[in-house]
Amino acid sequence: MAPKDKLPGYRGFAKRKLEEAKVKVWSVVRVVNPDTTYEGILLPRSELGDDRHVVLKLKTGYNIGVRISEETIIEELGYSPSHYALPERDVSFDPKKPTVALIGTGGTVASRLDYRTGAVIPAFTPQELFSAVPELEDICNLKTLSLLEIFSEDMQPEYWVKIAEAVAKEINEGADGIIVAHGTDTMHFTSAALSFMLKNLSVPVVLVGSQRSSDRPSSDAAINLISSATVAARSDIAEVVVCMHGSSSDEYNLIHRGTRVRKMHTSRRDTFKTIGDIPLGMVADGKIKMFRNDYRRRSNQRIVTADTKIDPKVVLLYTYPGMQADLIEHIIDTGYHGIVLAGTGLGHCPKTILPSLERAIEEGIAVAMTSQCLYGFVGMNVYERGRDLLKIGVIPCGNMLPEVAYVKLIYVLGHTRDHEEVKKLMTHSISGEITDREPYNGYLILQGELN
Amino acid sequence: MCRKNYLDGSVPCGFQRTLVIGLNGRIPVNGKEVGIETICIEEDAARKVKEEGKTVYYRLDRLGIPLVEIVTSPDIETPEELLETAFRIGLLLRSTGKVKRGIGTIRQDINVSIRGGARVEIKGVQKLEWLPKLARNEVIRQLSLLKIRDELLHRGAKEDEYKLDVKDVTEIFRETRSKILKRKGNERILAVRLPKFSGLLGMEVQPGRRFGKELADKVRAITGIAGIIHSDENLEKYGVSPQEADALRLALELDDNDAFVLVKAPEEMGKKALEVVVKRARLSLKGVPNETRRALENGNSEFLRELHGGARLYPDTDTPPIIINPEWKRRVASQLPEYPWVLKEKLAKKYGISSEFAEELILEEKAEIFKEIVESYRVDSVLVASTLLQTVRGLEREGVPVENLTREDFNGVFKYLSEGKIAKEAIPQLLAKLAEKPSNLDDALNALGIKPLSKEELEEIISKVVESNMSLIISKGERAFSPLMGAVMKQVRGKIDGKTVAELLKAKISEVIKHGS
Repeated sequence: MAPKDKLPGYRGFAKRKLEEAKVKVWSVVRVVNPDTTYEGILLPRSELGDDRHVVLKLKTGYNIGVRISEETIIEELGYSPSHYALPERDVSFDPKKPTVALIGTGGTVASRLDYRTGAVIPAFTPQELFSAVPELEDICNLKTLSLLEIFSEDMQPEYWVKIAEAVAKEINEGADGIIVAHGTDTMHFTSAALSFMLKNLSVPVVLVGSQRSSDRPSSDAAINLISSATVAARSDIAEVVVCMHGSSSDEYNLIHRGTRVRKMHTSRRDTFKTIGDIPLGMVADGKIKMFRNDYRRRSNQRIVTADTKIDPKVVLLYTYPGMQADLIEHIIDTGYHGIVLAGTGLGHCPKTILPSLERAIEEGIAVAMTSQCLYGFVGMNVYERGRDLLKIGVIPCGNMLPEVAYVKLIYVLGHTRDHEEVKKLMTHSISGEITDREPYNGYLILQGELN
Repeated sequence: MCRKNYLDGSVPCGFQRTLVIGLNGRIPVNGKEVGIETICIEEDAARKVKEEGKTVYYRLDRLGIPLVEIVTSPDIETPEELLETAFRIGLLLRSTGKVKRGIGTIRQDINVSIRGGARVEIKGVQKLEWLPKLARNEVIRQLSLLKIRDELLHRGAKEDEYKLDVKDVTEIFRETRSKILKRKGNERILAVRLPKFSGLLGMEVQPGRRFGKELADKVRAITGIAGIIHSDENLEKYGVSPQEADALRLALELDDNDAFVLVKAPEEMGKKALEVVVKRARLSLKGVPNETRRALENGNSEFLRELHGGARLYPDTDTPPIIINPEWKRRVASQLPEYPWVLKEKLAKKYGISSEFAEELILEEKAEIFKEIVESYRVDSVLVASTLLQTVRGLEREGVPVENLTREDFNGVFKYLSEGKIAKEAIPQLLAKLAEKPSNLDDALNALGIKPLSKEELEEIISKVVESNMSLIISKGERAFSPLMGAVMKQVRGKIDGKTVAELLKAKISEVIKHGS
């Protein structure tokens, strides 16, 4: 391992000055400029900062940037290191409590602030998590596994495979529930992928994240973690679900089926919604309430397999006014095997791309149609364009969400490229991704005073 | 950029963003310099409207409004100096013309510490005049708390005596005639012994405010329970019978030196309340606890929360560092207006007005318009100042919407005055008319029936008055001036300057006297 950087974030001129002064981050320093003198703790800088400023934490608690020049004199007055660790809480294994395996994919699951330095201390090991979120202790024994260290926007189909395999392994080794800690941006892609890949599931697999980082008081991290641990440890669900805030307050969390859920808001804490259906259930005050019966039940079997054959050569395309055929031509020419269209309305696209779609299908590329409306089913027999598309072999995906269809096509093409087989698999529900009907209360968008 | 956690609900996101923009400043106050430790830009929190039990209502109109926080160094030594410093800072802010005006736009938090006491913050001082009294009463409070500490030590009190040993005394009051001890639902009556506190709960810590009230405030702030009853109160007044009081003393095993505190609440809440009481009692042995208090109008203060340290500040992860360009800083510095105390002297000297007027012009942000008028027209500077200040205030008292008066309105009035189109006597009624927003100044004059009087017209009026008062002039000679001036002015007030009238009238009278008629 490389020697630890003593001046994280500093570079160029600032780094040189600080090195000359023989100070490091967390040193108590005096910075003497021709006009003023400042004293404080030298803080780390963000990597994107310039090299003409140093950041100090003053005695009053405020952080300031101090401009430095050749004349600046920097002296070390002391050293006040940040305790970059949480006090660990030793929790012994309780055979009476269920055991939950938490699989980390990147980012902080929970954290606590060190007010003295302003540092965010990440919590990940069971001891750290129990320390940061003590309520977990009453719910389950916890086992943690850091599988990936990525941002959720950098998620790749290959990583879905890794996660699915890890989940299967943990369940077969005895976990009573699984939590996958995941960034929220692409959580619904991963939940769909796991839904398709994991066979013979016998315990809950709960994806969870937070919309507000745990360094702010409005963070949803702790409650999401507690709720998902409750679902993983105690629910009788044996499916892949997403468990996130159900309202903008800390009232309850919803349990969403992994193939019907979607991130619907950039910043609200209740960003995840079940689309075109109602959620499986909710968690509030440690109690689970199910809204429906049609879910797979928990069992003692430990024969989970991860069917991870995939073909990631698939694109997901919005159709839009002005869309040109060259885009499709390029996709064909670069060797893709599948195209998922998020078409307009009932599943339409401009006629400009029709010939190219036809060519794509002729060349053995699977073309599937979903709706960018998100709510409702594609209905491709209603208008002429729909019928044209069906005639050339575009596969209608019912009310499958575009992202889910994208994930599913990757999964399906990993198994077969035969057009008829692909069509059969794409048009039949494997994991609840296509529903029989949309319930009267499945379409919920807040508008004005109305629900 | 930093975040300061606010967990009381007044900032929905849980933190206030705050940014240091100045350090190590100073302001001259009565011949000494008071340090300005920091100046920060912050976003305001929501304003608490009311509390109902544990529910707090806020109004959000102030939330997120940028504010400037100015922190002085602990250099202020007397309540009077405190007022003067606050006044000076206010004057400085007003003189920039960049700050909002109105009640609540400048709020003072004061920090008071005395020898042997502790730093106590008093928040929400909305009126400057409250400052000296608040400071003085806080000093009294801290001295009283120190006295209580000394008495406790004298009685041999030890910290570990103050344990949370709650007794449920509901049974004692089962048949009570005391209205405030009548229970509802799952309420219990809980009591706790405060060793060696006898008489101290009834001690005054601020004028009209006893130590028991300090405890009650803290209980209310933390648990929402409206009140407590303690042994230094007149229990009979509450309807507690002597038998009940005795039973209570027995149940709590009270010595003569001991005090007790009662609460009526659901069990958990009641315990929490008594925990607050016991903890506060224990703190009494240390003297003055660090707290944040809320200013009360009578100059006292009540407990708000424990004092926060700098420890709740941490970096705002949403804002990248803002780099302040030295060139921009220089440009801003070069555009700063003069310090108001310099400006005040200059205004007074240069324009020949009193320094009180000069100060008021600055405070009311009228210095610029004053200078503009005085430099543009040949008018009396004192008249301009008194019009801008006193006349406007007088009209305001009469209910005239003076906020409608614009810079153009004032300029117009003084322009007409300098051109002799109106007399200075017409200014108040003219401004009142202008505040109703007529289309222009001439319309206002027409509406008022003020037509400028020519010299010839005035002479004619004077001649008529003189002619019809000949006998008066003949009998009284020059002493007839006063009554005649009154008679003329009655007809010409507001239409022409009184000085001109006097000159012409005097000339006419002496002419009559000299030549007879």
